[in-house]
Amino acid sequence: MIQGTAASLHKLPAVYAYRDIVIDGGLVSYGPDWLDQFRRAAEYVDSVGFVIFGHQSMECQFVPSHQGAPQRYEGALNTVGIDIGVVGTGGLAWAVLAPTSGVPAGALAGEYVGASGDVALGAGVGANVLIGGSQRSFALQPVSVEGSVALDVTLGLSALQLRYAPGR
Amino acid sequence: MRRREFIGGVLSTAAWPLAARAQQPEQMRRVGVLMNRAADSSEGQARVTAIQQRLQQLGWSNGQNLLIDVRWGAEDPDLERKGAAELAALAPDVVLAGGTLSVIAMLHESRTIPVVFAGVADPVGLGVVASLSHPGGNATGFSSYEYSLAGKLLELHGAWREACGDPSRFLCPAGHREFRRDPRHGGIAS
Repeated sequence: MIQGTAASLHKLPAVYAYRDIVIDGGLVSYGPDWLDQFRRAAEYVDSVGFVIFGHQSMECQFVPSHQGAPQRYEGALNTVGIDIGVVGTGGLAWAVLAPTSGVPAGALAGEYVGASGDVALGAGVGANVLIGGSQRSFALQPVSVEGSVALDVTLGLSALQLRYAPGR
Repeated sequence: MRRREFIGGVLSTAAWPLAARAQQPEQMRRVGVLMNRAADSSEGQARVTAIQQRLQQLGWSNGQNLLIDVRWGAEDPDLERKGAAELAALAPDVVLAGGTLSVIAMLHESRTIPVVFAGVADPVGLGVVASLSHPGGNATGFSSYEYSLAGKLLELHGAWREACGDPSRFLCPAGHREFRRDPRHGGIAS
């Protein structure tokens, strides 16, 4: 028995977006895979709810775009204000904008804070960028690699600390 | 300041949640689920099961390191509000809201508890998020329709008309602005 839809009240055959309405007697459904959507929402619960709002530390890897070996850092997120892209089931990614192509080992270490009005930003730096590192010379631009339908994760993040961790 | 160039590289946190978890003692977490189905709905039960199974795969076992509290809003505004209030009182780490009424009820109850939503047709139009790329606030999640699906629905309508005659009614949710905006969709403007 279908309940509550405008079409069922007037005994009209109808196309629904929910498969369960068809199981209950509707004519046809055409819509998203709802269970899959809830599975993916559970992944967001894992990454957004537990990790980010839990203020946990994280392992970071910096991969230079030109030359140089990957560098490992330990990161810690503080408090609340920017949008960050989510990778897979909970990673984050930032594009690193550097003044030169050579980023010495450990150079990214330091405190990063949201860019304020007095910071002169160069090309390619958009909203929600974090500025910091040695001599505040690096900009971290959040990168979203999720599909276009998924929303970026928003968090209130005002500061990120990076510590160079070469030994891991 | 020197002009910055995009030559730095990428900083990422691959496999972060698992790594972070391994370093810390097990801590009980609490998730609230507000579902826009009735408690006896097979679809609602299937959704909650899907959520639990995925969380389990991610290392969160209900009763061991996770407590899941479910409230059934059943698309009834009073039940949705009551469920949202009960969940907020439990102070969960995060709430998963299924459906439009559930996420609205939950955000009405709390602007600080993180809310992940699914099955919301038009989160931007409803004000649940500021925009898809920068949602803002304490909610993020999944829109149930990619807007181009509106064109697909009209295609289906065209095929239907050939086979069965004109559908008698066209119900266009107020939030589906793409219907109005894009003249390519069968030339129909609502």
